[in-house]
Order: sequence, then C-alpha cells, then structure tokens
Amino acid sequence: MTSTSRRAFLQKTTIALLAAPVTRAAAAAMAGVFTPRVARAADTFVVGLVLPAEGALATALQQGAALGLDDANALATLFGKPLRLETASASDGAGAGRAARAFARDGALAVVGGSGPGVADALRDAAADGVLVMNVGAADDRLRNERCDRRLFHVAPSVSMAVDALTRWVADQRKLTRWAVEGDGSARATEMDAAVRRAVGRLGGSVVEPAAAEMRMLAGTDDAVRSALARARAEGWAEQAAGIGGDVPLALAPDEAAGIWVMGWHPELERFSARELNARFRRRFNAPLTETSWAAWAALKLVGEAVVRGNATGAAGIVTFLESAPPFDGHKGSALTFRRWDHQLRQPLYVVAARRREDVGGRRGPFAVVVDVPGTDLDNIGTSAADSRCRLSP
Amino acid sequence: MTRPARLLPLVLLLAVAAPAAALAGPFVYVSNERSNNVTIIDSATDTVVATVPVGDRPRGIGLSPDGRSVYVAVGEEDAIVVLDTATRKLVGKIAAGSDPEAFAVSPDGARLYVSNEDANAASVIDIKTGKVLASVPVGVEPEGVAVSPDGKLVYVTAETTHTVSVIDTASLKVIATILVGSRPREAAFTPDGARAYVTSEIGGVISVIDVARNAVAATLKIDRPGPKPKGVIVHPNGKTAYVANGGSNDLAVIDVEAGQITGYIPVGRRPWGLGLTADGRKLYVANGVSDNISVVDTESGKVIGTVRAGKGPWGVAVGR
Repeated sequence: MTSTSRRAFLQKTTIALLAAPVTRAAAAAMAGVFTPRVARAADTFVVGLVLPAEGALATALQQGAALGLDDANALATLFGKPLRLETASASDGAGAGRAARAFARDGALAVVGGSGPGVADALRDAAADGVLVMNVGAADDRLRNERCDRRLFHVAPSVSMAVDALTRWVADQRKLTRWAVEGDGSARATEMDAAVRRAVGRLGGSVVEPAAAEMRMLAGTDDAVRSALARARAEGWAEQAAGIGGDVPLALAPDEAAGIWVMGWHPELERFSARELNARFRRRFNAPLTETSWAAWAALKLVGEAVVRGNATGAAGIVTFLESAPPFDGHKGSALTFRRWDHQLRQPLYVVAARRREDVGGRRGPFAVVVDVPGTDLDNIGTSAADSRCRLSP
Repeated sequence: MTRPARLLPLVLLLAVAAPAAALAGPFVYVSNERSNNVTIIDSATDTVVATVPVGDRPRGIGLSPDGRSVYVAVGEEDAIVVLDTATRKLVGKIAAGSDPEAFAVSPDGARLYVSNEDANAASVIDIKTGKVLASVPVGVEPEGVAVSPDGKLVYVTAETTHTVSVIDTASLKVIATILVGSRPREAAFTPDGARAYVTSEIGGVISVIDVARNAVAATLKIDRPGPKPKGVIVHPNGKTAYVANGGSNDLAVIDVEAGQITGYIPVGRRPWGLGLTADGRKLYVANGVSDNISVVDTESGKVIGTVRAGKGPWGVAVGR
C-alpha cells in the first residue's frame, strides 16, 4: 500500500471513533498515521468495520456489527480467542480503501463494509491487495463476476439473487410474465436490466414496453427510483422503505397501489428463531433489525466461527474456512454457505409487499413479509456456476 | 341372575368414580405449541383420551419420576405449569424465569433445570418451594436441557453459540463448555451415562459426547436432504438412539455400539419431540406441521399408527 499523507487522508475520509471500544487503528487514522501491528493484543483478534460517514445506514451497520461481535465473543472468549471491533467511517471509496488497508496493516483479521458510493469497489481493490473483506452492503453483480476476488466474500445478496427471487415468485404466484424495466442508465440500472432479462427469459416471460407491462421494475440509483416512484404516486412508500435501512423498493405492479420488493432480512420475521434474533436486537438498540444490520451481524459471527472452528489466525485461514462451506446459522432456517465459484453467501430472501398506509405503525413497518424464496435449493437464485464470469475455484 | 352379573353395576360404578388415569395407560402427553393445550393419549389403544388447556405457547414437557405430575413450559407466561396425571387438572404454576422453552426434571424429582432462551441462562428450581436456587449463565439462546442418569450433570445446549454447557448439579456451576454442530437443539444421555447425543439443526449432524472427557467423541452426519435434526432419545436398553429430523420428515436410527446411523423411518411432517414407553416398544413422535403423532414400533422400525394432536405438537412425555 502506498503511504497516505495526513492532509490527503483527512480531505477525503472521516475516521471517527464510534460507540465501539477505543479503536487504535481509527485513532491513528485520525492523526493520519497508521502504525503497523498496534491494534491486536496477543490474544485478541481485530475486525475492522468501515462505515458510511453518517446516516441511518451507518447506524444500522454499527449496531448489527456490535451484536454480531457480542454473539461471536460469547463463543470465542470461551476458547481464549476474543474478537474486538474497530471502526472507521469513510465518505467515499478512496477513504474506505485506505481505511481497509490501514486496518489490515494494523493486524485486523478482516474488514467488514461495502455500503456507500464507491465503497464496495474500493474494498474489492483492497481485497486484491490482500485484505480479507466481508461485503455487507453492495449488491452489485460485477463484484461477483468480473471483479470477484478470492479474499472478497459477499454476505449481502446480489442484484441477481433479488431479481431472481422476485421474478420467480411473481411468475409463480401472480402469473404476471410481461415485464418492463425502467432504468436511468446507471451501472445499477444496467445490471438490473440484465438480471431481469435473464430471469424473465428463464421463466418463459418477456420484457416489453412499459405500456404493455404487467410488472414494472424500477432500476437505477436511489434518486432515480424515488423519482419513478413519485411519478407512480408511491413516493411515501420510498421514504418509508429508506427509513428501514435497505435499498428502496424496485418493483411495482401498475394495477396495484402496493409494490413488491425483496429483502435479505425483515424485522418482523419469526420462524427459525428469527423472532429471538429480532427481539435481542430490539432489546439492545430499541430499533428494528434491518437487512443491513443483519448482514453486519452475520459477518462478525462468520469471522468468529472461522477463528474458533477453523482456527484461523489470519486472512488466509478465514478464506480456507469459509471456502470449506461450514454451515452457518443465520436464523433463516437453512444452513448458509458461500458459493465456491464467486463467494456469494447462499441464503433465502424475503418477498415483501407494501402495507396500506393505515396499517403501518408501532412495530408494523411499511412492508409485510409475503414469503421466503427460493425454498430448499438456495442455488435457485443468483448467478449459477455455469453463468458466472468468476472462477475462484471449481 | 348369576353372581358375576349381579356385580356388574358395582364394577361400572367404581370405574366411573376412579381417577381418569387409572383406567388404562401408560399415557402419553403431548404439548401443542399453537393450540395452547396438552393432548393425552392412552398408549394401550393409541387414542386421545383428553385435551387439557395449559397456557400460552406450551413447548417443553416432562414427567415427575413418580409419574404423578406432568410439567409443561409455557414460554409466553414465563412459567411451568403442573398437571396432575390422576385428575388431569392443572394444580400448580411455577415461575421459571424469562421465556422458558425446555427443561429437565432431576432423577430424584426435586428440581427442574430450565433453559431461559432470552436470558442466556439456565434456572435451577426447587419444585417443592418453587424457589429459583440459581440462574446459571450458559450460551446464547439456550434450548435443550438433559440431566445425566445419576443426576450429577446437566447439559444445556445453546443455539447461537453452538455449545453445550455442562453444569455440575452440586455446585450449580458450569464446569465445561463443549463446541458442537451449528444450532444444537437437544441432548440425551445413554442409560449408563457414558455418552450423550446432541442434535444440531443447522449443522445437520449429531454430536456424540464422551461424558467423562467433556469432549465430542464422534460426529454423525445425517445423510438426508436438509434434515434439521431436533428431538433425540435413547432406548431404555441403551442400544439404539432415535433422532427426529424436522426437515426431512423422518427419524434417524443410531446403533449406539457401532456409532453409526443404520436407517431412517419416515414419519409425519416436521417431527420434533420424541417419547418412548418404559419398555421401549413404542416411540411417539410429535409432527409439528401435520398436527399429529406417529406411533413407531421400535422392533420393526415401522409406523403402526397415527394419532391426531392439537396444533403444532412440540414435545412428548410418556408415563410409566
């Protein structure tokens, strides 16, 4: 890694000490000085967390990671291998990349992050330089394909997984097969468009002009989607969705006021001990466990299990452990494992539908869970080994 | 009128007046998580003889060693209720700490060991006084509880930490923690107390614990699609163990001596709790999704009957 001047670093990156225990790497970063090997005590394993500079997403990530750390340590401390979380916040990709490298240079086992503009790509570049990265925020398909890396693991579901889950359920349950994709030309819109075309084609449907569509997929940046939702007179829905920490919803049935989208977790889930996990999170933070928080929680637990079960003491050990497909319990009712070909965590997703505005309130959020997808074969959603442009291992 | 005929009315009268449980039996008690009651089955005929409301969300269920009381954990009420087996009426309610899900009764009938799922602790309760003797910190989201046959050890599984906490019942302290498969649900000891079997729902495995060493001696992989093992019980003869595979809708049959799974018995949907008659001839399986009980003949390894239960049958306890 090239050295970073204090001024250049502080111009583009905000490193903040958050509620987590004192973070020596972060403190050093604030001063623009990264001191190798200062963070890890002899018997403590450090995990770095890169947060967006501010906002609900940063809070969701921080809280999820904090609970994940507690859960991981409930096991790891029994075996004399406690974990410690250090946090840094970055306002852009360059800052996130520098923070990740600083964490690694300070001896962190892994870096957790991925939320925020340009952050995931920067973390991917850090992974290419040897940093073990757990992506908990970026859905981009390209990170699982042409930009995949052996040291990059995706806890967050991909665009293709979400689109496959949604189209599969809509085609099966609502028999709607004529889709339109309304994009804004952004990279996200391009990925979404490709994913919809693949998925709809597989299911025997077709992509048509919006006027002839039974389902419309709104694809693009958050702002573009919000504008489209506003045109559909569903702008309140987008605001509510943003409030729970996930991507804004992206599919609308034009004949209905309600929309449909897919989430990786939902604070009202109850089955498979989801109820207990949701309750523990709410007791601790007085907040709902969002999909973002869940991903951060899962990432910390995964690293903890690599340390205890896999005896990992460094990035290479974590890679080996996670590639061995240990069954991870994400409170989703299935054994979750990473795909060997692209390091995407196999997991059920949840089709959610917007509630009527009058039904929202108290702990009833803007969305209700309709069903979990895809059932028993978790490889039924997302990019298959045959279709993947990533070849991490056979 | 012949002499036997003259006696008949008196015999019938006595039968009506006698406690319900004296009619036949032994009886099988099934907690129904979603209908908030206990189904009582006569094992002689495998028919339902009573259904008793017990409280909100009954799950864990167990009998006192003398067979006079059935204990049922009602998690939403933070209590364990006491059902008199003679009258089939609730006769007591014991405060059992936060969110009790499963428990075990000590062999002397004096104590209840209860897992408190959202408190990461196990409560030790004196049954006679109802007093909590200790709250022992264990792993995160404790679930299954089992007492060794000699009463000296209690195993408490913890779903989130994938551990078994070994509690010494004399000191009421954790003396060992054993790492097992992912999401351990239940534990059961062999009659000689030398081994214990622990099911791991997400791991899809059974950990065989060497009790003397507090260590996993073997791990048995359940070769079924998405098995989700939950309930486990050991035959009184110590030769066979049974595991309820909630995901693959069958039972795994384990040869204890060989340390191998020797076969699978198809049962209802989402088999969960298990109960064996004292002679080991009949195995009762709570099928949580099909709302019934499979009755398995252990000698033939076949289902010989199906009994309707309440909604969401969860646990099974069989009288002596």
